[in-house]
Amino acid sequence: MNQIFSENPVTTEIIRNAFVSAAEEMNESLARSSFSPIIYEMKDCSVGIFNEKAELLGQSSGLPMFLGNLDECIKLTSEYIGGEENYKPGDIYLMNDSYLAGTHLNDITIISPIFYHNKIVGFSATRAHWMDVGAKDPGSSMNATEIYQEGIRIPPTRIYEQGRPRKDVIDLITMNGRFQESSLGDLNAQIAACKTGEKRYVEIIENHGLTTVNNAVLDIFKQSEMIDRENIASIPDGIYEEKGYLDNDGVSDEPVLIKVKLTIYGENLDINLTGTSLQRQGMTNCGKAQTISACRVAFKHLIGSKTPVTGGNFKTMNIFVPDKTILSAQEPAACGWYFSSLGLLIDLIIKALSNVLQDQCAAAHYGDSMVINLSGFDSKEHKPFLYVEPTAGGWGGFSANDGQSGLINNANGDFKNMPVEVLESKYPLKVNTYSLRQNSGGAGKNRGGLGILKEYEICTDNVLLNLWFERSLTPAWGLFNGEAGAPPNVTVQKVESSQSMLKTNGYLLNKGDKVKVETGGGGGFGHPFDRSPNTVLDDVKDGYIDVEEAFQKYGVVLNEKLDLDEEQTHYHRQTNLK
Amino acid sequence: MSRYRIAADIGGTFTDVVLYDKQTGKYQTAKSPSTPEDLSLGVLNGVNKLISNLKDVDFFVHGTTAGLNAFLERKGADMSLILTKGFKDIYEIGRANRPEIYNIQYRQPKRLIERRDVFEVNERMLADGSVDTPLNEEEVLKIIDTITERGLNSVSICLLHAYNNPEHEKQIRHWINEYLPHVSVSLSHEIVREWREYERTSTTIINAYIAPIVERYLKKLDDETKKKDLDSELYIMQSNGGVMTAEIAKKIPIQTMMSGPVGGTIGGTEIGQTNKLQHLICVDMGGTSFDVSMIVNGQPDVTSEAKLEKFPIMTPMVNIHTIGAGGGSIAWVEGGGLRVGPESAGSNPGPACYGNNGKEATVTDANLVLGRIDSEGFSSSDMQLDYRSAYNVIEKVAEKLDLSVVETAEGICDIANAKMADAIRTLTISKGIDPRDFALVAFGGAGPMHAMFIAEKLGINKIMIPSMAGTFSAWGMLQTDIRHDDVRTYVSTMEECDNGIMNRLYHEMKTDTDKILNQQKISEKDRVFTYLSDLRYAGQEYTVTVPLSSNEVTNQNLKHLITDFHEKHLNIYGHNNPEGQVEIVNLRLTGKGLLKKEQRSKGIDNKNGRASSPRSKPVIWKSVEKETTIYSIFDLTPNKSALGPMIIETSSSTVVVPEDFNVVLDSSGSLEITRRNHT
Repeated sequence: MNQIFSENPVTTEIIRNAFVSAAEEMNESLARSSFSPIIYEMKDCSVGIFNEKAELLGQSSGLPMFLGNLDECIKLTSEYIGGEENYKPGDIYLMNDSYLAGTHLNDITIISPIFYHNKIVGFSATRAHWMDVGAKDPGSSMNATEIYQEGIRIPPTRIYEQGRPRKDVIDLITMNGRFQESSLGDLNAQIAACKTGEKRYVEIIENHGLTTVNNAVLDIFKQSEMIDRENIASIPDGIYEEKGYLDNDGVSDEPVLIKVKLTIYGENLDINLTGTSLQRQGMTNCGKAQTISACRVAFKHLIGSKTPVTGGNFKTMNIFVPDKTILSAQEPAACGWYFSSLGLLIDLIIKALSNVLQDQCAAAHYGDSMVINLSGFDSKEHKPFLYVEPTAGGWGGFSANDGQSGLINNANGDFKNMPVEVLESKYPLKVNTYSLRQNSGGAGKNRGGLGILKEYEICTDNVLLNLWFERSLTPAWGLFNGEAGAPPNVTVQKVESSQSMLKTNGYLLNKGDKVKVETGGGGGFGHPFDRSPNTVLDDVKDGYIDVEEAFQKYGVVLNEKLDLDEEQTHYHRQTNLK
Repeated sequence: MSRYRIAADIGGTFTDVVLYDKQTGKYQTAKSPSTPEDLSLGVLNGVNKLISNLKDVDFFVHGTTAGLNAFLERKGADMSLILTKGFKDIYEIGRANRPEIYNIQYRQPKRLIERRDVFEVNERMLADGSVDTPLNEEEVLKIIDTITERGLNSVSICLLHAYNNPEHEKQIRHWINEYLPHVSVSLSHEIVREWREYERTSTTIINAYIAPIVERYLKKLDDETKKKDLDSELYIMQSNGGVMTAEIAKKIPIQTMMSGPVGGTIGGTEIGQTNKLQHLICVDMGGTSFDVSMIVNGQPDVTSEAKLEKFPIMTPMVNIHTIGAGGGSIAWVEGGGLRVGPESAGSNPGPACYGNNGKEATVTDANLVLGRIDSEGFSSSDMQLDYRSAYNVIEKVAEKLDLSVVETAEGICDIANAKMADAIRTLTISKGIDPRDFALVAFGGAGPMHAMFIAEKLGINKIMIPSMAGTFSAWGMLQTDIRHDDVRTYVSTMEECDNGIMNRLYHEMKTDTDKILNQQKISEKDRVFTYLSDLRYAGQEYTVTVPLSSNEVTNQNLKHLITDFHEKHLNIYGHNNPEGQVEIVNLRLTGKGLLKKEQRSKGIDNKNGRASSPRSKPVIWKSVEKETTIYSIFDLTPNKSALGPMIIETSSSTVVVPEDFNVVLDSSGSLEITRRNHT
């Protein structure tokens, strides 16, 4: 048997698969039984099983962004309670502080120690987004300037003591949100998921024996580390740099800068974020733990193996962030829209490496969650309502194909939009249009995907509109001479006036007012003149682009009957090639 | 004179035929190569092997892949789609989700319709079913002109809120019928009367897309069987686990999508009834595939949230989970670790031992190296397996791991078995049932080869290997009844729901279903109806389907319904909220038409099967090579138990029995296998 491993590779693999499957079971349990659509629909959650050193054994995450930092929360909790010897069987801890957990306060992390024969052998942990944790505005705000406006801040807090719920503490937490019943439902779903993880971990130990499991875990970590090392080593050594901007932080008009410098030498990858904007008054700040997680996501997208991540990964990846930047925020920075910054960070890392990873990379996608949030009182149903939806957009072209149209952004993973028929039945809203946005995909040999056009009509008075649309300054860029996709746009149409805006907080709408949202397209990949004229013609026939765009961007000449003029096209492309 | 019942199951490689002779009480089976260019040929060839004239056949059922193939190969109708103005891209955007969350090059699968053939009409219904914008005839006529110009032969119509008010869909069909009588029209509310526009559109489109192909195929088969004097109806196996006549199948071809594999699940249900087993896991494994379905409380697990290539299908289907760890799963090495799957060699090139230039080591190759399969291949197919190629590819993996070839082969099988067990555990637990409460039914050429290993890992103590394991889906089709499902979306909290409306909707579905059962000549006394509703806690998305205790909605049985819901929620999810507000979402009705089956088996009448003196060969068991007896199933004495290790070859599969298992051949010809000390 191979010298560097301590266990038989077959046993190791069986145990590795069992951990992955146990985590999937936890996730299934959580998603299917939670109360918030944002968890069961959007899968805004993550679960994992860890060994006693808080190293990851198996995880399942609904959002890519949650790839790696539950381990950090466990370590912080152990430290907070004065060492892991202070855990008792049946204890459960809860936390959400942005500067510890890295994300926004809505993300609630639950940690449960796992005991076997009265000895602590590991942890199960879950994180899920609660609808409301008491921010100054329902759900979350668009313009908070301090974390205290974003909801209740919770350090690692014991909510179950040796199997008994601490009702006072749980009430203190859940009474600080607007939807207590929903919070309690989600809390129970998270606890049930932790119990599932615990049960499966103990079964794995009983099936194989603790020593074998511990040896296999060491081997699993070694495998992960080797795979990372090989993958990094296969990229040419060098320094790769990029920068990009968010439009603003929602409070001032000043753009937010993110700068990355990647250094690859041998099996090592250094990511240096020096030069990134200092922490801002608005909500685009983010805790350092989550910045690290985002760098891991970019790595997983481009470089990493398809095999699920473990505690052995990322050993040769070093991340440096100076203190008090928007990516390493400290009290009292507001962190509600942390993922706008991280979405850009991930895109920039991909762009930085695109020259050396042409086949794996893709031109940029439309970039952010593009959230519309409408709230008010439904006079027909006699109850308050809150509608929140991220909007899909176009993804970037890549070496093998066009980018996908109308697909949810990177940060939102497998999120599903709400069917119009369900939306109109549940909310005092009507949708007038939901379609692709013509000409919004960046031109390229492989075209960027199209953004979305969606128009809402308000069917009751006194509705408050919140918007968070981003990336108009840095719309989805193209690669290898491909062009950028169209930037986003939102138009609010009132009876007598019409106004364009991208971000707003508490903008008053009345019955009959309309909000038209348009999301950006993806970037193009390769020069548009290299796109086959017949493919361009197909795009025109299908209405993805119009005749004008075919001519201006792709140099393709079509006559009135939509026949291709090959000679003119050839001539035009020759004379206008840039 | 009615003497025979016959079933045919068209598979990717072979068409299986099973014939039951009521006079002798015996079954005969035959296999014939499938004929993709005209599937009815393969069916008739197989039938011919068993019986030359069909006049004494009173039940002819079959599972067809005609629709599924047309879908997978994108060889369906030339489609057009009519949608509400403003919603042209309902089908293209779908739910906008990205299931592969670490893939920045994600693409949706190829759609069944081009965007240029999607038309919008200016009309609008609101959520409450009221008309917001009336239809405009002139505009529809213009669309009809374009459809004519482009020579499109199929139109799907899916308008917003048509589940609540279908008048506009009906009106458009009326106009199309008038001007284009030869174009087939599918209306979303007729295919599935449930909310969620993308899912309904996708279901309607798949139905319309495969309709002409299924129809052509059924007509051909109908003609050919009539030529052979078949006097009775031609029945088609449905995805929902029931059968329907060919006439009905032409209207809802989407119900033929999973026609073949479902037969196995229904067969499993029958095995469960015979042996008094409530919960069964059905494992159907071929050389390159692995499908799992479940029977819970004696009923097949049916879902109305199925997907094919990520396209949703809302019509009820037996839940068949294709697990990426079948015989075709590829073994590979990463970071010094051994992995199996999720990539599969598929059937082309297939495992290295297929001799089709497959270069990767697969689970089937490992089985061959271990001696668990003979190089004669999966018995009764004519395929020869190439041992040398299998050995070579496994050896390559072994070298990278510094293990012996045998250790590697056994490791590959162990990992695959563990992965299959893990996947099955997740499935059963998501139904709120511990896998240890299940029995395992294994069939398909390779199912009985892995069943005992999987059962052991799941803590399952009882495994059933049906006598016709290799043609089990076809056998299962002989055990079915007619079935028809219907649905109406009705959204209300339980406190506010209106019994009158609910009774009206149930009555509407009952009338429609009666009509369909009538067309299939089911007399009233043989009709069984189940009234169901989809419930959830207010605010939840997922629903739980709960049966109503009687055929009439009353305050009293609504109370029961709520109690049952809380209980079922607790069973499935491990918690409930008896104080929580309960919401009703859909009403469902299942109508069954009971068919006469009268077929207690007296075993198989197989001309090739005769007892031969048992032989032996070396087989690897837990890394040790042991001379192992290979029995033919005809060597076994009924009702006498035998202990593993051993290998039993049946007419259509190989049963691998490790040492801790006890085997009994029961009187129907099935093998009942139990784990020792666990009986």
